[in-house]
Amino acid sequence: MTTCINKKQLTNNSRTVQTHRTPCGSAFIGLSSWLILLGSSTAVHSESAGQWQDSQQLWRATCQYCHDTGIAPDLHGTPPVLVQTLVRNGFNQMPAFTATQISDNELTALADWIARRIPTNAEKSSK
Amino acid sequence: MNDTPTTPDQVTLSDFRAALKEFIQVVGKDWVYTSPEHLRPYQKIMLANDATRFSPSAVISPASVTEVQGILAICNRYSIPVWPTSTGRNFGYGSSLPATRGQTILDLKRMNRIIEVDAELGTALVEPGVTYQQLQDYLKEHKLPLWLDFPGPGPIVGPLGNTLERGGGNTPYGDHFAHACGMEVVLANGKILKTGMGSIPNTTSWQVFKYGYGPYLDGIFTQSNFGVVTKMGLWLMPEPAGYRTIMVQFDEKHLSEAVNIMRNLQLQRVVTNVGVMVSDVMAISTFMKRQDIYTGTGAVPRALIREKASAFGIADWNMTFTLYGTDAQIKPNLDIVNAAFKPIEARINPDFHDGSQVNELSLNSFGILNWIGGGGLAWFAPVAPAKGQDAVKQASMARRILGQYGFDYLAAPTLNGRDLHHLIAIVHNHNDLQQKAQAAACFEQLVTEFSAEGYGLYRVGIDFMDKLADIYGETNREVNRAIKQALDPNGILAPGKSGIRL
Repeated sequence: MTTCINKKQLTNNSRTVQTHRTPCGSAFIGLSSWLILLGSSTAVHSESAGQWQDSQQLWRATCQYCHDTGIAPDLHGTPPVLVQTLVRNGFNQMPAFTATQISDNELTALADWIARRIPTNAEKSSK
Repeated sequence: MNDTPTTPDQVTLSDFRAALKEFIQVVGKDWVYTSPEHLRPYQKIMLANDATRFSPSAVISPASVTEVQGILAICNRYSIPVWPTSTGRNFGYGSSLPATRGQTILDLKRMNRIIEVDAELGTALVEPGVTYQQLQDYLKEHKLPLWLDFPGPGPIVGPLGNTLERGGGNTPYGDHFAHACGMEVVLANGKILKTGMGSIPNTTSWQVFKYGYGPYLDGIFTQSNFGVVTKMGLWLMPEPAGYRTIMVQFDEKHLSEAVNIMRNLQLQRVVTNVGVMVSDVMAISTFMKRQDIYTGTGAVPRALIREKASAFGIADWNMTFTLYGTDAQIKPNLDIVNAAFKPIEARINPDFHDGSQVNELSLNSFGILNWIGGGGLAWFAPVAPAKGQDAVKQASMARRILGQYGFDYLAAPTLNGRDLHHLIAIVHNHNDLQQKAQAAACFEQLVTEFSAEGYGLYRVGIDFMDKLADIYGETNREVNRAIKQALDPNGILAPGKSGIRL
């Protein structure tokens, strides 16, 4: 089974997107590969309490959109207990997160991960 | 569990406690909340109102349709009103909270399966707890060339809930309900309705043909309380070969003409996505704080806004939309766009970037909340015909009324062909009781005056649902009440949602 992935070059002024073409050439792509039935199985990327892959995934899917972009304060070095309080209560424009979204154990781990997180070079240079 | 929970109206404490025990039997003790610390995150609202007016009695979080059925049976037995939420992120409209105090929140976040994606047809079937982030991650992981359309808080909200609220985004699939196809609904009596083609045994076409046979029912399950939607089909946009996002900037004096030009471009299908038109203050508010410009009282004076806006290349109005396709498709349409706006001397940037129009999730929209700080937001969302005279009239009315209460005109009308959703953010300091009261009074006056001019809201927060239902009229309310009586005779589902109750 061959998938033809054709990433177009940026030509003239249009922005192009990574273009996936199928079927391509003479290689027939079975339709079954394009119909993904998960049935009753657990979703691959569940994002709710007890289902986060790890703290990094939780951070990427939730926190970084504001806390790595200047919309909300940088959290490096924030005491874990404060992170936990803010997540559960919200603060000003920050929404609160329920125990169905992030479990208590996941929140503890996230708060510890944030406290230990080392700024990337890009983050350092932006300060 | 808390010993003395808030109880629903007309439910005795003993009955409520008995119901809670039965809820635990259905979902397990870990998923029934009554303690203040568990309920607190559900009570964080942005609306200009006191959250305690809407305090829930409890939260129950099922993991399956069977559990939803079990919960509704108990609610019927004990007359417990239950308020379904999907991801609970209805920001600026009430977030998770019910329309009346004491309802039990039915938190469907744990039902978060992506059940099916058909990449050939561009369809998906998802549960209420699925977020746009989750769905996008899924598509990327499987290298499926499909785009999503999402509202401002995309990463942390979900397609099912936003579609049921008839929310929107900014791609050609921006009218979310128009791109939904097929629902699974748990009715108040526990029966399961699959709308459209879904009721056919072994259906092959649930997510491809909306209407099925007989009356088209999906609409009655949006902005309503006639059932609990547990699955929804979505149409997803095939990834285009390319795109160019265009910003058209113009002066206030050209607002009327610009709206007419854009309408025609959309009706002619030159522009196919939902465009947006941002006021100068709204544009500035995404990256500046009000106090950095002005520390006086009242709305920021126009001269100051214009001075700051000019420094950043921001016009009175800043319209963006996107042309999608191959170069061969885009170029002639761009020529048409350029020619169309030439008479109004608009400044056209054909290489602007707006992630919301090209499948890039962000929470950049939260930036406007930094304008004042304090986390207050109420969306005022009247609909206008896409005619220049209506846009000018609404803008003038909104500026005047907002100004009376000291608020700035943070406007981002979405451009939908024949109509504008004139989205206005009443951003205020939620911790400042006086300012919060001003925001509430301002909202009330906006609703009253706009309605008097024939401009209705397409959506409203939990604190104005009855008022808006009254504006839509008694016959409308009677019909909704009759449907409610037929489908939910005990009135357990979200009483007060959109002003609908027995």
